[in-house]
Amino acid sequence: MNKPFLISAKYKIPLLSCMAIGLVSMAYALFGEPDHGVRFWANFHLNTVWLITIALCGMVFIGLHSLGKSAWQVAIQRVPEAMALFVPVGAVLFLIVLAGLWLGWHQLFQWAHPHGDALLEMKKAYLNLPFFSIRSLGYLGGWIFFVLWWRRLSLQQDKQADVNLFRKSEKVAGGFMAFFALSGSMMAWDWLMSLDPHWFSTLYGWYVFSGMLVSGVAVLALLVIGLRKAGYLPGVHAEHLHDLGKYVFAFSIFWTYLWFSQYMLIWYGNLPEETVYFRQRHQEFNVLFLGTAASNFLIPFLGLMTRNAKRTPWVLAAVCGMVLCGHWLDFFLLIMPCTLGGQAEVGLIEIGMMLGFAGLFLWVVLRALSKAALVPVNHPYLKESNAYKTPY
Amino acid sequence: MPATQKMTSFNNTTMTQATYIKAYYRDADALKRGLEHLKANGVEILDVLTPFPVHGLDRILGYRRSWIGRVGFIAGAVGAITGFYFQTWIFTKSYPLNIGGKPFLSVPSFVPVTFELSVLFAAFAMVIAFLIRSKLSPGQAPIIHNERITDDLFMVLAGAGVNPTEATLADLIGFFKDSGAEGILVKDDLNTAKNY
Amino acid sequence: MKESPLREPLLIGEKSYAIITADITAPIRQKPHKLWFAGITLSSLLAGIGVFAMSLTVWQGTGLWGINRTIGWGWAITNLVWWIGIGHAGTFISAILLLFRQKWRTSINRSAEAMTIFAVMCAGIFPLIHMGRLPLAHYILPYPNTRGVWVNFNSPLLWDVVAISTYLLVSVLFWYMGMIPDLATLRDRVKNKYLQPLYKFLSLGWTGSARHWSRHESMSLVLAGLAAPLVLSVHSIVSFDFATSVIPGWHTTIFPPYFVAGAIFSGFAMVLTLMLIARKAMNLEDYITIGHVESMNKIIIAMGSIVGIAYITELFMAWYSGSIYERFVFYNRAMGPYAWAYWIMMSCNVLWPQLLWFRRLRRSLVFTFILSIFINVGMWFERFVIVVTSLHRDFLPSSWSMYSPTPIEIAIFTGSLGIFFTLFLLFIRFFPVIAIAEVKGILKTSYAGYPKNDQLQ
Repeated sequence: MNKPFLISAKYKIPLLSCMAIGLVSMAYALFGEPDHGVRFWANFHLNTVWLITIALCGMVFIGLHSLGKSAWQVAIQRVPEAMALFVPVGAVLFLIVLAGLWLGWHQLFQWAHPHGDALLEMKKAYLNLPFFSIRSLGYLGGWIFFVLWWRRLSLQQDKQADVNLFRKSEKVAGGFMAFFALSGSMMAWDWLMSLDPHWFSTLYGWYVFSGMLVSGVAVLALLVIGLRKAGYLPGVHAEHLHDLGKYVFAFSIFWTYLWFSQYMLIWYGNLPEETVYFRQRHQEFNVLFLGTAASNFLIPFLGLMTRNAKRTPWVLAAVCGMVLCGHWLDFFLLIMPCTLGGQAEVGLIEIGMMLGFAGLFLWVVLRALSKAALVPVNHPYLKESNAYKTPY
Repeated sequence: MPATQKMTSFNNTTMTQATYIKAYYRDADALKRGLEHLKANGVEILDVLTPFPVHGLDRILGYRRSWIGRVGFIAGAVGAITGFYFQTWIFTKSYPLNIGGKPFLSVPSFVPVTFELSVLFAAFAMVIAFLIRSKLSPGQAPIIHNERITDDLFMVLAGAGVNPTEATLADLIGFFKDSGAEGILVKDDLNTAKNY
Repeated sequence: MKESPLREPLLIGEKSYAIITADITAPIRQKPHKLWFAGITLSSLLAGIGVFAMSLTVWQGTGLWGINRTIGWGWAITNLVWWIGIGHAGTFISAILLLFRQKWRTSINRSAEAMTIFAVMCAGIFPLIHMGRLPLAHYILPYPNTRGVWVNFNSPLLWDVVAISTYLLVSVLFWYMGMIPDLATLRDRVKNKYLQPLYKFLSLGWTGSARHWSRHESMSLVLAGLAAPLVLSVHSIVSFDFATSVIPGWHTTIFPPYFVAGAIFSGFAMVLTLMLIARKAMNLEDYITIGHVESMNKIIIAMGSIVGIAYITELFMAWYSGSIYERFVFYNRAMGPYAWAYWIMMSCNVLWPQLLWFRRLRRSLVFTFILSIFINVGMWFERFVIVVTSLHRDFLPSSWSMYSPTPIEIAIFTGSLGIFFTLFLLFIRFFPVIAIAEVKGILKTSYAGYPKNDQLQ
C-alpha cells in the first residue's frame, strides 16, 4: 500500500539538467556580464531567500496544523516535512551570500558601506555587519534546530506508536511557531527590506509572509499532485487536493489584501520617503509590477473559485504553477529594483539560475522523501485523514 | 379497472386519492441506511425531513449541488461593477472635486467601497434566492407532520401513487419495515390515516 | 465519521437529540431566574442614563465632552473602535472557524454572532453623536440631492460608513439565516400564546426538508466565504481612518492586519467573559466545556501574540525609520504623560496572555475569566493610546494639550455597555443561545457517550 519513494532516472535526468543549466547561467552571469557579478549575486540572493521561505512554509504548514489538532493533512504530512528539510541546504546558500558580504564579493547591502549617509549612520546600531550576521545565523540556526527536531520525532513515531512522542512533537510545533512569529518578520526586514535601507514599512514582514504561504502551499500542492500521478500516496484523494486548493485560493486573497493595504496607505499618505519605493517600481517596472499584482490575485481567484477546479488535479496544478511564477516575480520585484535598478530584467540568466536553484530544491526534497515512509504510519490522526471527506 | 374507480385500501369511498406514506426513523445513520434500501426498491421519495443537516443525503436522494453560489458570484460581480462605476461617475462626471490633490479617478480609494458593495449584493442575492427557491417566507403555515421532526425524529415522505391496491401498499410497507423505519403511517388526501 | 480517541469530547453528560433540544430551549420555556431580572434592571438603568447623556450631547453639542482642538477624537472614537473590535469575534467564529471546520464553534457561534450585532450597534452610536448635528446624519449617505454634492469617496470615514453598515447587515443576515431551523424548533416546542406565533412568523415556514437543508448549507458556506474577507475588511477600513493620515503613530502600514488581529483578540475576550457567565447561569456546562474554553484561549494567545508582534514592529520601525516625529511619538507613548495607559495596554494585551502557554491556566475557568476582563480593559486602552497619545503632542508644541473625559462621556460609555447587556440579556431569554441543529450535527462525532446512544435504533 505505502510503497517507498525512489528517485528513479526519470527524475534524476531532468533535475540534473536543471542544475546544469543553473551552473551554466551562474558561470555566464559571473564571467560573461560586465557588471562585476551584481546580476549574479542579486539572482543568487533572490533564489536563495525565495526557496528558504518555501521550505519554511513546509514547517509552518506542519506547525499550524499540528497546533490546530488538524487531521486531514496527515496523509500528506511527509511532503511539507521534506520541503522543510531544504532549510539546512538553503542555510548553506545563504552563508555564501553572507561570506560575500564580509569578503566584499558583492555590494547587495548598501548599509554595509554607509559612506556618511546620515540616515544609514543613524541606523547603524541595527544595520551593521556583525549584528546582521548574528541575527541571520540565529534565524537559520533556530529553524534548522526545530526542523530537525520535528523530523527526528516524526521518524521515531514511525517505529513506535507512542502518544507521548506525538504530544512532544506538538510542543515542538508550538515552539517553532513562536520562534517563527518573530524570526519570520525579522528575516524579511533583514534579508529583503534592508536591501533598500532608506525605506521602511511596518507591514513588510507580514507581506512577505503572506507571499510565502502562497508559494509554499502551491509547491506542496504540485508535489502532492506529482506524487499521486506517479502512483504514490494512495491515501490522498480529491478531498485533500480540495483543501490545498482552498489554501492557495485563500492565501492569494490574503496576499492581495496585504499588497493593497501597503500600497494604498503609502499612496494615500503620499510621504516622499515612503512613496519612493512604489515610485521606482511604477517608473521602471510598471507593467510587471501591476501585472504581477493583478495576476497573483485574479488567476487563483477565478481559477480556483469553483469546487470542481480545486478537485481536478490538472487545474489545480496549472493554477499553482502560474501562482508560483507570479510569486517568484513578486520576489524579483522585491529585490531587483534595489540591487540592479532599472536595468533588471527577466532574462535567460534569471530563468536559468531559477531553474538551477529549483532543481537543487527538488533534488533535496525528493531525497528527503525517499528517506522515510511517505505516510507517517503511526500518526494517531492518520485514519481520520484517510477517511476524510470534506463536508463542503 | 381505471384508477379513478378503484377503491382505496382502507375505506370504501370511490374518489381519486393520492396516498402517502410517512415513515419515521430515530437516527441519522438509520435514516441513511433506510433511504438506500428504499431507493434500491424504487420507492418514490417525495421529501425527507430532518432535525439537522444530514451529510450524504444529497447523494442518496440524487439532489444536484445547489446553484446558490453562482447567484452569489453574479450578484457580487454586479455589486463590484455598480460600486466602482458609481464612484467613478460621481468623481469624474457628476461632480469632480479636488480632494487633497488626489486624482479624480483615484482607483485605490474606490476599492474599499467596491469591495463592500460586492459582498453586500452577493449576500443579499443569495439569501433572497434561497428563500424564493425554498418557498420560505414570513408568516407561512407549513404542514407540521410531527412536532418532533425539529427535535429528534427523521421522517421520509413517500408517494404510494393514486389509489394503490392492497398488494402494492403491502409491498411498500414491507420495504419500509425492512428499511428500519420505526413508525409507518399511511395517509391519503382525505386525511384517513392508518398506522403500521 | 468517527474521530481519533485522542480528541476531547465536545459534549459531555447524558445527551441525545431530545435532551439537546430540551436543554437549550429550557431558558426560553421556563420563567427567568431572579438574577436575570436583576441584570436587566441594572443594564437598562445604565442604558437609560447613557441615552440621557447622549441626548444632552445631541442637544448641546460635543462641547460637553473633554475633547479640545488638539485632541479632537477622545473617548467616542476609542469606544467606537473598541466596540467594532468586539463585534469581530462573532463573524470570525461563525465564518472563519466554519471554513476551518472547527467543531467547537457550534456551541458558541450563535451567542457570539448576537454579541457581534449588538456590539456593532453600540459602535454605531459614537460616530453618529460625534457628528454633533444628528439631524444631518443622512448627509453621510450617497444619495442624489438638491445640494448637488456627493459624499467624498476619497475619505476613509465614508468607507467606514459603507463597511460598518454592510457588516451589520450581512451579520444580521448570517445570524438570522442560521437561526431559522432553531426558530422552527422553538415554534414546535414553546407553547406560550404570544411567543409561539412570533416563532412561527420568524421561522419562515421551515420544515426541515432535506432540500432546504442542502441549499441552506450551500448558502451558509458561501456566506461564510464572503463574511471571512468582510471581517478582515471592516476593521482594516476602521484602521484606515487612522493610517491614511500622516500623523506619526497613525500612519503605518501594519495597521490593517494588526487591527484585525486586535479585533478578534478583544472579541474573543468578550465572548469568554459572556460565555463563562452564561454557561454557569444557564446550566450549559455540558455544551460549553473546559475544552471549548481551552480552544478559545488558544485563539486568544495566538491573536495576543500577533498583536504583541505588531506592537514590537511598530516600536522598532519607529526607530528604524529614522523619522524624528515617529521616534518621538513612540517615546512619548511609553514614557510621556500617558505612559500609564501604554503600560496597561502592554501588560494586559501582551504580557498576561502569554501565561496561557500553560495548559493548567488555559483550562482554569477563574484565570480565564480574570484574563478576559484584563484583555477587554487592555484593548480599550490600546485604542485610547492610539487615539489620544498620537494627538495630544502634535507637531506644534504650543498646542500640546491633555485630555480627560467629562462625566457625560463616561455616562455615554457606560450607557453603551448598558445597551449591549440589555440586548444580550433579552437575546438569551427569547432565542436559543446555542445553535441547536448544529450541535446535533456533531453529536455522533464529538460526544463522549455516543456508542451508548447508537443502540437506540
